[in-house]
Amino acid sequence: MDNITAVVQKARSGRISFSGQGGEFFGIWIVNVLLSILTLGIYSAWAKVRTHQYFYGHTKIDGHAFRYLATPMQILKGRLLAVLVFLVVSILSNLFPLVAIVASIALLILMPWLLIMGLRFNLRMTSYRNVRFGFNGSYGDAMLYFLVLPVLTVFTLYLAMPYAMKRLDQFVYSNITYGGKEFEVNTETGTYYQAVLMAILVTLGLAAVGWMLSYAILPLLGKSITTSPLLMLPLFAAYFVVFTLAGAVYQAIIRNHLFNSTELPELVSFKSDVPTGKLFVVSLTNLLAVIFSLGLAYPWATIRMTRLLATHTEVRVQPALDLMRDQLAAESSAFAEDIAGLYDADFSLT
Amino acid sequence: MQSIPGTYYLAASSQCCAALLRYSEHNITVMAIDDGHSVLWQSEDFSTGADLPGLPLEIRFADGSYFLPDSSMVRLNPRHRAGLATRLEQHKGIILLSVFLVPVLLWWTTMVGIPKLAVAIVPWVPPAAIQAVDKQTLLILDKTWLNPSELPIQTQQQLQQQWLQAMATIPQRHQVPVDIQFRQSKHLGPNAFALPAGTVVFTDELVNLLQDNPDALLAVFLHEVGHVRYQHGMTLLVQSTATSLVFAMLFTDLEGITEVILGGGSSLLQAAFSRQMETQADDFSTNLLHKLGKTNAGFIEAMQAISGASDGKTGKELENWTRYLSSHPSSEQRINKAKTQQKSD
Repeated sequence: MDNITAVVQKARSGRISFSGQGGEFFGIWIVNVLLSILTLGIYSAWAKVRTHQYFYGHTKIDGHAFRYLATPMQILKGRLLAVLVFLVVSILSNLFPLVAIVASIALLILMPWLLIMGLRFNLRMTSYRNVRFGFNGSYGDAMLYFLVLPVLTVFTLYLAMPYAMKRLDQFVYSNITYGGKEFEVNTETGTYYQAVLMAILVTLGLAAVGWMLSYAILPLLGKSITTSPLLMLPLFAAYFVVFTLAGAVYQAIIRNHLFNSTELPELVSFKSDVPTGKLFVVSLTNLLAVIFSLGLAYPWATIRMTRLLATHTEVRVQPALDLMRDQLAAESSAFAEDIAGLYDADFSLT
Repeated sequence: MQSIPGTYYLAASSQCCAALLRYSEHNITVMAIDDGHSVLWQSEDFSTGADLPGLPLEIRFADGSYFLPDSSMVRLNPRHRAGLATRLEQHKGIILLSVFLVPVLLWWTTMVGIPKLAVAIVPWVPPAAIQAVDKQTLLILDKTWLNPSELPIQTQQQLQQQWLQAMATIPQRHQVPVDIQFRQSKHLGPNAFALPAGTVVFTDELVNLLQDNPDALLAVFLHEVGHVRYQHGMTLLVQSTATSLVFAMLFTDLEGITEVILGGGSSLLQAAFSRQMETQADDFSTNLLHKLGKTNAGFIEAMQAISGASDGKTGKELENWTRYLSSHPSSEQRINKAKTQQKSD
């Protein structure tokens, strides 16, 4: 264990350890869903906090667990406000369809703000060794990297999209702070092009395989079925498989690159070596398990994915980390984060 | 007096040290292990963090420092009993009950609870608001799918008169104020629809298709009146809003595929409710045709003409496969139902 009077110490390296158990989390999840239904959704705020606390508490770096500090009341307040806004907007846009157009424009303008408020809330509520994280991104930058830049790539026939994605990741991760110190991100545009190219190649390759398969199988089934709309089903399934695989390829390359190029200067550096093939297999089997269990495998799948990402992440901690100060005050509203979730604009950091 | 080994995290700092927590009758002492047992914190005031399965219980102090026991079994009560939430989440019987109750309750909420709620709410919606829905919807449709009617004014007036006269002779409780409109629409083809407040729109294409068969047109008109009479439009609107709200509240933390499954499920449900409503409107139409001294022939012919014009032969095959996705029952089903009703009379 670390000592207050640490004098000469060397950098410590180790994998992120995740000790959550599928069975244990299943109990938490299903009982919380039941309680949420029975309380007409009120308990869902408690469920969210408990779930976050479970995952954070089981995630350890250098022997110390993360903590999730948000209280259920903070989440509940935000959630009720979000529900109210949702109700007002949906009633008004049903009565006056023109309101729907105005509301979606307003949402577009509000979205960057909601996103950064959500990020800020989540990070402020994340603590490691009693020092909190934070987020410094501004509204203007969020507007630029979330909306303007991706939209502008249309004019380059999306050829600049990987560049826009790099800038977006850079915006998000370089604005994260720990104990007031900012992370430094030195990602390369080339790697993003490489990742997108690999994802496209995988998509094309799978499409070709699927095309050949359909030619091999169709004659066996006879002519009658070729016009059947039932053919849409395997096509729909194939679409999911292809996008999971292509997504996994992109995610593996970018996550590894992002972690390897990100550091908290003089304090923490990372190494990520998630194998593309493994990430694909886990994503695909998770997908199938959740579908065929009608959702019941969700806790198991989540634990499995978290464990995979944790075991393939190495963290190198410098002794100076033992002497950090927390410089953040605890005040922020859960509203922004929750309204983003309800409108499905929230996104995760892992 | 209990002695609990763990780690003490100093306030607002990343410093921490191995420590022993001594606990007795609401008095807590935290002592450093390495440092000659110096006292790090002593107080009567403390709070505990959330109690979670498999995780040690955090003991928090007023200055923001906290103590984390090494063992996940430690609880600050005589029998080391875990909190209620944790006990529920670890109780095999409760978990099994949840696995059974969650699908049942979800099914009940979406199939019974929310529809009942919708039916209860609809009468409270102010008529002015429903009128606004009609006006705005028609305005948008006129700018997108619909064009002004090219039917001669006389034809329009004649049909309106015929239908309003028929309406005046049906039982009082089924009479609703309607506003009959005609529009040309290539997109919709031969079609008719009703908006919540009673705007009933016929396409020129439908009127032309059935121009030699006034009874068939009347049957379609009565079907649309059925939708207005039973407030189907408003009910579906309230229902879909309530459903998406409930699912958003219950499953905010789900992502990706689970959301697709739930979304798909609720669309299927909406379609099922919509099919029920179509059937109810069909029954309304055939019933009133009888009251007006007519047979089901008009209804059957209208269905045949519409399904023949829009789908053709492959359409029939398609209907078999897509019936669970469709907002309407298959035309074959609707025709057969009308035919059997005819026979039983």
